[in-house]
Amino acid sequence: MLARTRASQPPRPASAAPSERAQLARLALDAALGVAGVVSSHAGPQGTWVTADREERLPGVLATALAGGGYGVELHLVTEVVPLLPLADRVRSRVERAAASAGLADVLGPVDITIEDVVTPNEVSKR
Amino acid sequence: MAEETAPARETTRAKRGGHGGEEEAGAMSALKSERGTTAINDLVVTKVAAIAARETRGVHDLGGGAARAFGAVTERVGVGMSDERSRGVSVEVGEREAAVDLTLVIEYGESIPQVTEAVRENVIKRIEGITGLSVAEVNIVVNDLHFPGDDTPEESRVN
Repeated sequence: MLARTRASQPPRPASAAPSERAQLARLALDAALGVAGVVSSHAGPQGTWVTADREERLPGVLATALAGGGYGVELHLVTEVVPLLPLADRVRSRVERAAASAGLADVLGPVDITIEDVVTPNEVSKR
Repeated sequence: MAEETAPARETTRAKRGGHGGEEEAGAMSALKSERGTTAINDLVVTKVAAIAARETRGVHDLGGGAARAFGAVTERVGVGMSDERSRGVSVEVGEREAAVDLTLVIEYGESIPQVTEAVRENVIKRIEGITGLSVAEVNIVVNDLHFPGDDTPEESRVN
């Protein structure tokens, strides 16, 4: 007797690598949070600034496909009260270096950065 | 008891709108490049302005009477409904410029023109230094004066 098989899509192998989109989002978020002056990422008032890939949810970063190929990255950040434009430049450079190290420089598009909030040292220590 | 002081500079007010909206033809904003854009939320500018105003000597508090009373109540009952640091501050942020409106309570005895001018200079310095935006104007309303005895609760008439 043949075993009955369920008419459903084959399960995804557990070892499947994350998509390029998810890899870019992850490395961009890690790179941004590693920059001195960046306190956290911000998922947005409705929690929509999130990249999800399988069970992983990355708040405060959106990697979206571009018409010409590759992915643009949006980062939504909470920072300390420091000069913000130089800080954004440092974040952008670090994301670009991280993408190059991971072999993803060719698929990385513009890195858009929004400073959503700033926090004082007192607020940082309460977090 | 409200006195409005003249704006620092006579310039066109920054237009409210999303960052990246109205870009002049051929001009590339310092916030926008081929590598991506940098945007700063209005809330950030509001907080920077509030911190800059509060750290100026002679400023007791920010906000109108009702806002301060409401803030005191929410603080007393332990519900942080209002952000203390943005009370009394209103901003308009455009592509490259910001305009700021402040409502202040000043310590009694201080020179109002000197304090407001110091506030204006500090707000401009902080916003321009931290956000890179140029400040088109800082309008200040002095809403009240603070006396040292204002914070002392009245003694009860009965034991």
